[in-house]
Amino acid sequence: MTCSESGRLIAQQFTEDCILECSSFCCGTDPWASYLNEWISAKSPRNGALHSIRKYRTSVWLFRLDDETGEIVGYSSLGKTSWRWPNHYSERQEVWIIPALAVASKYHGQPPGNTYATQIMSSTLGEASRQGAEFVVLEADVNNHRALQFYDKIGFVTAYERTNKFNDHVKRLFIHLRDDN
Amino acid sequence: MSTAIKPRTNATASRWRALFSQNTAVALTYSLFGGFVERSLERFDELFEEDVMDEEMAKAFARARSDSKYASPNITLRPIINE
Repeated sequence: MTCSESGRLIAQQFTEDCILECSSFCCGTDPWASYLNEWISAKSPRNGALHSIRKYRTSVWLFRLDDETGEIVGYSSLGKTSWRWPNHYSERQEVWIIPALAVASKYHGQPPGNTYATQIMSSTLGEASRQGAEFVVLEADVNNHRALQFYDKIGFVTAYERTNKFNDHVKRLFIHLRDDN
Repeated sequence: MSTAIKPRTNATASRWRALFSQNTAVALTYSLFGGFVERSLERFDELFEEDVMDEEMAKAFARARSDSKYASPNITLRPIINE
């Protein structure tokens, strides 16, 4: 798989065979970054990326430098679920989800201009759009200012803040990709 | 004969005790730490596990549908191409 015509990153479907290589992936040391590091390198099919692929049919991609090193720059994921809305009695409607997306620390803010993070998000949302997504939802820790600034720049909007069952204070954000009206 | 066996029995017992304590430590570490990691990664499943959308989210979605500029992407979308 290639990452469109940008020519900078190569996207590869994540499989069990990638886990060993991902064990050194590091997008930071903050708690939320540690979870993201663990998610992509989890060896057990009971958790992490493999679990998400098997249980929720999530698509997970590794993004590599398009050079002889093929170094992993980051990863993204895209899944789909259905929620009843606007109330309990409503029909289910499909919502696309980005459960995890991360860029290795050494590539944060790189390269200037069209950053790797932007390229990865562009590909992920592009894939969601291609699949017919109207809304894409993700969550970010309220203290993860770098990510929140990035999502804001992309066009994500905060729907609300909440404290999840793990006691993380997170913002739930979404973006609208197409108009159904 | 008993004096010859006794030291070997003690040594064997000692080795078994060491092995048992090592394995116990490994098992405990795995069950505690492994379980912790497993549970901590469940946070990534929460969005999938929800059944009904929150009211605030529904309102935000409705607003996005009525206002095309609200929550729309500021980047060019480039689908991942299957080779």
